[in-house]
Amino acid sequence: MKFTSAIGLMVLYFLVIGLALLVIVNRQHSRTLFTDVRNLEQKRDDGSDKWARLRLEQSTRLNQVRVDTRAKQELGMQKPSADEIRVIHE
Amino acid sequence: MLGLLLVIGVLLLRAVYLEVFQQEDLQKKADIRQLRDVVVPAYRGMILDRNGEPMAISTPVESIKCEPKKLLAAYEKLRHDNEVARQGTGAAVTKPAEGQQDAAAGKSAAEQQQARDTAAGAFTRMEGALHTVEQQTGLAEGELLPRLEKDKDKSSVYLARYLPLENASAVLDLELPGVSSERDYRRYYPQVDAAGHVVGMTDSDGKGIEGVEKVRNDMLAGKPGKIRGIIDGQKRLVEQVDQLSEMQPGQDVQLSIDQRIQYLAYKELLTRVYELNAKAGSLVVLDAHTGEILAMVNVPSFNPNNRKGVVDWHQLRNRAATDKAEPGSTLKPLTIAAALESRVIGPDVEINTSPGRINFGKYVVKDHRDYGSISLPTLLAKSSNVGASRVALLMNPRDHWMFLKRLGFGRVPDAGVSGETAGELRDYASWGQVDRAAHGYGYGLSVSLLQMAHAYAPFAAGGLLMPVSIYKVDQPVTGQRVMSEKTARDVVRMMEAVVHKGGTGEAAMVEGYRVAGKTGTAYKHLGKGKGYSTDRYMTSFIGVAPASRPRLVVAVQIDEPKVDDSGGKAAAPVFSKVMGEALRLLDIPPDNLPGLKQATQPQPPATPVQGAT
Repeated sequence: MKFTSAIGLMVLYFLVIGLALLVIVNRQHSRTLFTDVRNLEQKRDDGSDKWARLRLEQSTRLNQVRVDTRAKQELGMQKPSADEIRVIHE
Repeated sequence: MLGLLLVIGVLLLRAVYLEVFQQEDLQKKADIRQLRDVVVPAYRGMILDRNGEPMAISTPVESIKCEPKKLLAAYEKLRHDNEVARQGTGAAVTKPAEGQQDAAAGKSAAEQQQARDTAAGAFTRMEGALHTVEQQTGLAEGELLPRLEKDKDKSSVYLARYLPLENASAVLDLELPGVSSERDYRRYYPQVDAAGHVVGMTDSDGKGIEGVEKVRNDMLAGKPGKIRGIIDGQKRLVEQVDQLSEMQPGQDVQLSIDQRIQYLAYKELLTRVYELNAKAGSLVVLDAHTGEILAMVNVPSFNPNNRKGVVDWHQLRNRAATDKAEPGSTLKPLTIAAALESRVIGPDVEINTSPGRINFGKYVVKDHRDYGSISLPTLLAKSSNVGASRVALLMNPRDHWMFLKRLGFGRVPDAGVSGETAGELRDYASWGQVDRAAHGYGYGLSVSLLQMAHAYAPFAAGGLLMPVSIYKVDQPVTGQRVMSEKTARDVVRMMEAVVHKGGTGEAAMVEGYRVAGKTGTAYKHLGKGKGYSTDRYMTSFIGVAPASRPRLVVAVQIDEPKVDDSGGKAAAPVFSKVMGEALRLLDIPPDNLPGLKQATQPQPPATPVQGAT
């Protein structure tokens, strides 16, 4: 009785120690994962920042005035007058 | 052995003491040191035009911070080193800032020379770096050091706020001591002045204060989140303990605006307002079939990218929606439509306008000359006040009032624009004879330009009034029938007479398209009992096109032009240009081409019913 309870105590003792160690390991693990998450979030934010900048750049490049002047000056395009337009009905 | 046990015992007791009795206190202290509540900022959503082009977008910017003491100390040290090296005296004790000394060699003359060069090089580099900083942050040359000197006692100052990333990284790449950066977001408005009133702007905290930015602020802003976490020695977050609130990113808002038409409309209106030396101007382009606002511009405008540039608060007013005024002659087609609807006249009647004036005691309605007996198209083309009054007087006031009410007079349009006015339409019970006549040609009631454009929309949508909206409409909306399809078609046909050679709206003609519209000139009321001004007026043109299958409504209004005289001359050219380009941009087929007549010959001219759209 006394012997078994001592063994039980020992088992519990080691269990406690073991679990304590596991807690430490898991905590460390969770911290590493958290850092990863933060890094990925950072990456995501950087990505969306870049996306916003590119959108802005695209809209500047596709600016109507710019396209219009380039079409007229560089490509020599012009707006057709009414008698040059033909409408095709389906 | 006993000693060891004793020590262990003492330690255990101490541990128990700390863990059991002091636990709360210590935990608190630890939390203060390592627990932090971190705000996770929400990204503000974009405002897009109907084709997905950005009209307001948040992009990252950097604010450059500097600790004056550190930077000044580094600068002083280099300068000192340089001087010492140049004098050649203390070379032995001075270590050049970036010099690598060959330890083995002694202090030869060559080495002293080398040390001198290195010190000079380091100093020149430093000066160059400071110069770069000045260039990139927009400071004047030589301004940086005195500024740092002035703020010497502050722990940190901003060298520049909201720099574009390229400039910021150019500064950061110099790796100057004490210089760091902070990420921020700034709102950019690619359409600048052209869409200022519609899009609005945000204040320095990123909260919407004008336009759609204000109306849809909650949706755009999202909700910043908050997490509680543990930080390490370098203040980096290493563990999340608790999520206090979840971050909800802002959503994008898509407008019904077509930024191409918006820009064009702004450009044309601005040019015209400038040419006429007018006080202000507004323009609305409406898609009658969906009720969407394709463009809404005002002059004077403001640049939302530059809050400080707003000197006058009048600049901020979205006049097209917030300002009400008596519409004048542009109301006449509505009077005729109301009369047709209440069946007091038919489309082919002639109205006798002789002798060109009607007297109501003190109040006189008059035309430029006696037009005699005229048809309805001529009434519109000549813009006869007497004719319009006669038509209005034929109607039961209640019918007239009901008709105007149905078209949105005296009611907030609820388009989603901030500060919309309801205009003014008094109850028919209080209308006297004079009111009834005046209402016929656009006096005695007031509306915003947006309301007027909206009221013309049924002419272009087969008699259906769609709810007006500044936001893109994806699902088909159900309109309200405000007049019969026949009335709408008849009035459009009559309004075509205005935009013909000899009509008041001749300047509104668009090449390739048939246009129907109406000019308007409304003299300004000077206040109660003072009557009307003779030289201050609001001139306007509202029209629909293409007349054979109308789709767009364009309404132009110019306030107090100093040069030209009537609506036909002042506002119609703007209408013509904007309408022409808008039709072209939206790929709406022309209906008035020289070669087209043969092609459409198989269709009889009097098509009974056009498919309601």
